[in-house]
Amino acid sequence: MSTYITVRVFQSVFVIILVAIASFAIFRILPGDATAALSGEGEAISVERRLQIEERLGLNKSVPEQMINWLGAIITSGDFGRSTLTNRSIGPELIQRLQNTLHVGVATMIVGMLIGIPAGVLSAIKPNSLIDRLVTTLSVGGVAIPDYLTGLILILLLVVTWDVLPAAGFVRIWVDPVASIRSLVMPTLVVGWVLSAIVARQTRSSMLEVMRQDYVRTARAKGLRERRVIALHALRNGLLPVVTIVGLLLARVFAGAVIVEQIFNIPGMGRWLVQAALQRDLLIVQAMILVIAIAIVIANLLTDISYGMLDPRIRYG
Amino acid sequence: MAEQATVATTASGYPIPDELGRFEPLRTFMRRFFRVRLVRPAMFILVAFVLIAVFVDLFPIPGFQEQATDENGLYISWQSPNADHPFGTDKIGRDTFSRVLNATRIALAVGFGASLFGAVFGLPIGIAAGYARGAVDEVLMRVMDAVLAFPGLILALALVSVLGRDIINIIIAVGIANIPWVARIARSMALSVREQDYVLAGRTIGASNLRIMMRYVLPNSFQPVIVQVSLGAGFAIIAEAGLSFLGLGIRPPEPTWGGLVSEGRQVIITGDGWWLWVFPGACIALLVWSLNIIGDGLRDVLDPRLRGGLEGD
Repeated sequence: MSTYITVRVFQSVFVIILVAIASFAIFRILPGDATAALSGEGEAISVERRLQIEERLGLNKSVPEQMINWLGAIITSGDFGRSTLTNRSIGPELIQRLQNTLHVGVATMIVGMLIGIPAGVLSAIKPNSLIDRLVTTLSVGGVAIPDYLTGLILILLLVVTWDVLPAAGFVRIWVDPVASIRSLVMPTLVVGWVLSAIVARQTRSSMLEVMRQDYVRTARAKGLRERRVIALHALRNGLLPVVTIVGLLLARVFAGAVIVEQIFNIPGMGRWLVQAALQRDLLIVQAMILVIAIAIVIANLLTDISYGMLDPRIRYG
Repeated sequence: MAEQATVATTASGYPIPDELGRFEPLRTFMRRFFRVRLVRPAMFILVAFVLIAVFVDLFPIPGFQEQATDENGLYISWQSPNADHPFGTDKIGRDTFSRVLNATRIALAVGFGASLFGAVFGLPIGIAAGYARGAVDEVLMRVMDAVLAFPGLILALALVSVLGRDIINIIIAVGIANIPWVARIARSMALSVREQDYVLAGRTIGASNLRIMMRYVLPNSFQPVIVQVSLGAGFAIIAEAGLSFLGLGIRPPEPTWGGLVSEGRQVIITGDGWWLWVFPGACIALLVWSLNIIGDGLRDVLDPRLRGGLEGD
């Protein structure tokens, strides 16, 4: 077990280093004039201005040196550099926006679990029943319908037609719980619906596995009611493998944030990323994809390790 | 059903070789494939979209930039669906039906282009990793893990902001996210193929590593990779439409499904113009759904053990 953890930790550190290199390298394969693109000033800049910009952005140094400086500043002082358009420091705003994105993201994961786990359990209890077919059909459909379409359908129904929810905006839960939940319903449903499809599939297959185990048969044989067998004996073990997909869900939450925050006007990382990409404020894009990718690597590492701890039967080779 | 008698199958439909030990692979395969639930409607939808993309220029519909005007020369704008404009018109009188049909080309080109791009690069990486094992394997697969750490749409978005927004760049930007999935599958195939007796036999008669990879490992990896190409095309279509929706896709006036949905979104609060986004949105969902069903169906027929992959991404 401990060798497994060590190996996984080393692998993850290696992957994080690669992710950091990639995040930087993407923005040095710019076709054309890097200085012009990174400064956002177009190619018709004077020689003096160009030298100034190169000095300020450190572009007059060698590429490996630039990368080490960029990463060094992030690690030592959390300094992600400055927006090339507004010259504002990226770090503080990034933390604000990361909080908002994670706030919506955690709510989304809860919604996904609340829908996905019961759906998966119900369909595993009676395989090939009507409810099983319904869940399977919906979960195939769930991943085929893109986020922007679900979002617009919800707006059309809940805002335009029935007028029960605000069209956009975001309130944190501890500021005003009611307004917060109202502002979160649509954003969390859009991605939560997709997460629930993934969770339901995973829950269904692991529950089917567990229902075949000897201890479930024993529980039935000693005369327990089916309801008790499922709730006390099957469910606990059946839900364990669901932990393994938390990293996958987080990746989906970040990808969904890009669309959802745009539609519902949430000041999170996704919206910032899109704005920065549209304005070619590349240092922001660079900072953001680094943070997102590292968060996902760490989430995957933690889920792998916690799964091994939660289920002592797991032995890694 | 005369043809059914020509191929012997077991009770569960698996082919039995004839007395010379031959299968009739393609025909058996097709029959089993089309027997998978929902594969028929899914194939129908896919073929319909491909035909639309190929022949859209021949259809008796207005051009996608043509602006309908009335007798006073005013644009026939904001028409809800009617006989003249089955999917309605936008604010400058363009026919949504024509734009939706014309956008099929971009969707299919990016969908299959990006997914094949992933296969072309993922196959050699995965085969090399699985065949070589050891340090090569470790390094290559960690690089693939690093690519996977970026959610597909976000990676595409970052790459497009750097590379620019023409169709080749979008295919590359979306396709890179497909590489690791193909590489993982090809690697697992290579790991099992390299232990087979025929590889040993090949090596004994002096086949080089390159030859073994090309002649033994590569053909054996094709089947699961085809499954991934189908699933990857679905992901790529959603990602391309997502980029267009965010304003980072192919530039207007070239119509794209995502771009149309985004135009509809801008007026949704007025309660009007639903036809602008409902029809292209339905096209995305239908096409992606059919690609997922086809991918799953291929997997069921080719190798039921290979479940997993790009689920929900």
